[in-house]
Amino acid sequence: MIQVEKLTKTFKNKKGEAFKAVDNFSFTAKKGEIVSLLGVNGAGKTTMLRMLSTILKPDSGDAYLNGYSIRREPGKVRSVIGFLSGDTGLYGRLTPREILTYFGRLYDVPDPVIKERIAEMAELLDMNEFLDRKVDVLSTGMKQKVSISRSIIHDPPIMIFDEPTSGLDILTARTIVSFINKCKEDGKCILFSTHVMRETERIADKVEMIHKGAAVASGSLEELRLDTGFTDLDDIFVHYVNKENILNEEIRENEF
Amino acid sequence: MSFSKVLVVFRKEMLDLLRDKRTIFSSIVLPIILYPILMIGFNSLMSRQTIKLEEQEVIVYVLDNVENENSYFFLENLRETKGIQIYQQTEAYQMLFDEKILQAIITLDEEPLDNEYEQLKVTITYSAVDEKSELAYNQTTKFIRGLREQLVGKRLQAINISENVLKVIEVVDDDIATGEQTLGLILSKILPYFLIIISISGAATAAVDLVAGEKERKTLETILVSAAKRNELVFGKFLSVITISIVTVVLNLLSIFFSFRHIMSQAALDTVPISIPIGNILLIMSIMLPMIILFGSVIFSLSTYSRNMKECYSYTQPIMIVAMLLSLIAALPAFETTFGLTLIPVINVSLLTKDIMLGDLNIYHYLATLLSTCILVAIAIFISIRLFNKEGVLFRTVEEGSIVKDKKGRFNPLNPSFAFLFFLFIVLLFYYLAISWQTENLEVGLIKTLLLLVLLPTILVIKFGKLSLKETLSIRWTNPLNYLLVLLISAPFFVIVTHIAQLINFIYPFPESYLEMFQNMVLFEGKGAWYTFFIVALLPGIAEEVMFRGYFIQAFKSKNIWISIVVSAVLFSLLHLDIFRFIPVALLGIWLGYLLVKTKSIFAPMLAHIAHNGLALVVSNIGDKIPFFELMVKDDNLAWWTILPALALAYVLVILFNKLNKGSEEFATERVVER
Repeated sequence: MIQVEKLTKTFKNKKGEAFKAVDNFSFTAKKGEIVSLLGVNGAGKTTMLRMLSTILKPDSGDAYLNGYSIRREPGKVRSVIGFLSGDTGLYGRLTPREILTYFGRLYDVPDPVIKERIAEMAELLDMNEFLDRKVDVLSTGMKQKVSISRSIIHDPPIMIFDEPTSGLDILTARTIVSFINKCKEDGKCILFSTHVMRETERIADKVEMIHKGAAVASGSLEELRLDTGFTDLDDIFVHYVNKENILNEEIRENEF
Repeated sequence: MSFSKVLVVFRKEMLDLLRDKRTIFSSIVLPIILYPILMIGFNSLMSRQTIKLEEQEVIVYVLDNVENENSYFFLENLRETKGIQIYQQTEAYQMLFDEKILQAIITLDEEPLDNEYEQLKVTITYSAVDEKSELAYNQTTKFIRGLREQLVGKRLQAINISENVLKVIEVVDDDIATGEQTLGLILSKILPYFLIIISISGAATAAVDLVAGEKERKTLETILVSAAKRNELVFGKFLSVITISIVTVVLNLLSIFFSFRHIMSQAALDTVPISIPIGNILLIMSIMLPMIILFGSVIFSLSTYSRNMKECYSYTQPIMIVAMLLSLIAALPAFETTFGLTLIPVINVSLLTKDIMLGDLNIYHYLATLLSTCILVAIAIFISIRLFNKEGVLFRTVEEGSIVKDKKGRFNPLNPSFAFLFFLFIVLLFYYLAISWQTENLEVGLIKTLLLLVLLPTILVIKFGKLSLKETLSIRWTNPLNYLLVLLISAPFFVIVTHIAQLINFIYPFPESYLEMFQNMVLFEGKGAWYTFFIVALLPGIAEEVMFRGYFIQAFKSKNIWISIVVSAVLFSLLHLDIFRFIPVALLGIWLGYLLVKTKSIFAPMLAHIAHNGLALVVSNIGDKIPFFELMVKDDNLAWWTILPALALAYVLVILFNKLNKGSEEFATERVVER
C-alpha cells in the first residue's frame, strides 16, 4: 500500500525563482484499490509520481510504499513498484525478450523465473509473434504491451502509472485499462495519474485532485458527488479548482 | 553496489551498442579500413614522387662567354655527366627557361685574378621554388665540385706540386638513420594524429549514446525506476565506454601494424629490414588507453548533462577540435617531449607516440604521462558519477529560450548565454585593438584598454538592460573591518600566488622576452611611482572588478555560487591572454569572487585586487628595502619556506573574515531585477 505524508518538492525556473511543484501533499492508497491522481497539465502529477518512484528526492515529507520509506530505502521501494509512463521507453535495438530478461535481472529475479514469466505474459498479452523482433520495428500497440510486461516482470505489489493512455489510440488505451483492472483483481495497489476525467470515472475507486501542486479534494466518486452536488466529474473538478482559487484570493486579500 | 548487477548492465549496454550502426562504424569499421587506404595512398604517392625525381633528367643551357680551353673542358665534362642534358641551340633559351622546359641556365665568364691565373666564373640561374629546377642546381653544383678538383690538380701539376697538398679533409657521408627510422619519422608525424582522433571518436560515439541517447529515446527513466542502483548503472555504462575504447584503440593499432607490414612487404622498401616492433605497438597502446578513457569519461559527463544526442554532439565538437589541434603538435618540428609537456593531455600522448615510433622513448616521460593521465581519468570518472546522481542534471527540462531575451521578450544581460557571447566579443576587441594599442604605447594602451574595453562595455550592457548599476555591481559598503582584513590577507595571498607562479615557471619555463616585458610594465623607471600605481594597480582593480566580480558573477549565478565564482575567475584569467599566468590569475579571480560573495560589496574585491597588484609593484621596485627581504629571496625566487607562514597567516585571517561575514547564501539567491 501507499502512504504519502506531506510531500513537498520545489523547483527553480531559469530565473532562479522557486515554485512548488508539489506542496505538502498527503494521501493513502490501499491494497486492491485503484487511486486516480487527477489534475490538469502542469499540476504536479508527474513530479509526485517521480518522487514515489524515487527518481526525484522530495524536499520535505516522506512516503511509504509497502512500508519502505522513499527517503531512506529508495532501493527497496523500487523493488516493490512497477512504474509505467509515457517517458518509460524501450530499447529500440533490443528484442522484447532481451529487454524483459534485462529488467528481470535488474530486479534480481532468477533467470528460470524470468523465462516462465515471459512465457506467461506472452500468452496473456498475445506477444509470441514479436517476442524476438527488434522493438524498433514494432507498432505502438505492441510496444505498449512490452512496456506493460516490463513493469510487472518482478510481480510488484504496487503499480504506478503516469498518464498511461495519453497519446495512445483507442484500442491500445483499452489494453492498458483492462490491464489496470487485472492488476486490481490480482490484489495490487494501483496509483495512476491522468487529466482525462472519463478514465477516472470508469476505473478509479478513489480520486485525489491536485492543482498547482496542492491537494484540492480527495475521496471516492460518490463522496465527491455528494459533497458538490454535481454528477459529472468535469463539473466536480472545476468546482473544486474554483473553490481553491477563491480561497487563495481571500488569503491574498487578507494579507494586504 | 553489486558487481553482478554492474555486469548485467554492462552486458546489455554492449549488446545495445554493438547493434548500433554508428558505434560499429566509428569504432570497428573505420579503424580497419582507414589505415590500409592511408598506407596505400601514402606509399604510392611517395614512391611515385621519388622515382620521378631520381629518374628525371634535367635540361640546362650553357651560355659560354669565354670559349677557351677551360670552358671547353667544362662543357665536355658536363655533357658526359649522367642526368644532365645540355640544350644545344642558342635561340630562345630564355623563353624556354621561363616556360620551365629548361631547368637552369649556366653562364660561364672568366675573371683574371692576377697576372698569372684566371678564374672561371659559373653563374647558375635557377628557381628554388621549382623542384626540378632545384634538382638541376644540385646536379650542377655536384658536377662542379668534381670538376674543380680536376682543374686544381692540373694547375698544381703544372707547377710541380703534388695534388695531395690539397687533400686536408675528406668528408664521408655516413647517414646512420636506418630505414626504420626514416619511415618512422614520416609516419610518426601523421599517425599520432589519426590514431588519437579516430580512437576518441570511437569512444565518443559510445559515450554519447549511453546517456544522452537514453534520454532521447526516453529509456533513462525506465532504468532509473528499476531496482538497479545509480552507481551500478554508471559503472556498467562506464565499463562499456571503456570496453569500446579498448576495442577501438586495439583495432586501430592492429590495423596500423598489419597494414604497415603489408605495405612494407609489397613495396620496393623490403630490401631494408623495416618493421614496427610489436613491443612499440603495446607501449603506444598503454598510453593511448588512459587518454581515450579520459575522453570517454569527459564525453560521458557531457552526455549525462545533455538533453539529447544533438546537444551532446554539439558539446563534443569543441572538445574534438581541441584534441585535433593538440595532437597535431607532434607533427611540428619545434616540439620535443619535455617534462612539462607530459602533463598536458593529448600533447603528451601525441609526442610520446612519436618518440616510441622513432625509438627514443624516455621512461620518465612515459611514466609522467601515464600518471598525469590516470589522475585526470580518476577526476573525470568522479565527476561523471556525481553528475549521474544529480536529478537536476538527469531531468534538465527547462525549455531553451532566446539567448538575449528573457521569457517576457525583454533584453536581459544577466542571461549566462548572453554573458558568454559578450565575453567572446570583448576577447575579440582585445585581440584586434588592445594588443596593437599596447604595442604602440604600453601605458596609454593599458589605460585605453581598461577604460574603453573593460569598464565602458560593462556599464553600457547593464544600462542597456535597464538594470540598476548599484544593484547589479553590488556597489554598497560593507563592515569597515572587512577592508582592513582584506588588506591584511593580501600579503600572505600574494606570497602564495607567487609560489604557484614559481612552480609553474619551474615546470613550463617562461620565455626570457616575456619576463622582460613583464618587468618593463611594473618598473617605475621613467614613469614615476604614482603613475605606475595608477596604471598597473588602481585602474585594473576598479575596471576589472566591475566587469568580472560585478557583472559576470551576477550573470553566471546559479544554485551553486561556486560555479559562478569559478566561471567568472576562468574568464578573468582568459582575458589576460596570457597562457603562462593562467592558473595564478584564475586563483586570484576565485579569491576575489569569494570576497564579493561573502561581503556582498564590490569594494572588498576591488581593494584586494589593487593591493595584490600594488604589492607586485612594491616587490619589483623597492623589494630590497623590505625587512628580511634577503632572507626570503633565493636566486630571484621566494624561498620555499615562506609558503608556510603565508598559509598559516592566510588561514587565520580567512577564518576571522568568515566569522565576520556569515551567510553567503543570500547573495546566491538574490536576483537583480529590472529597475
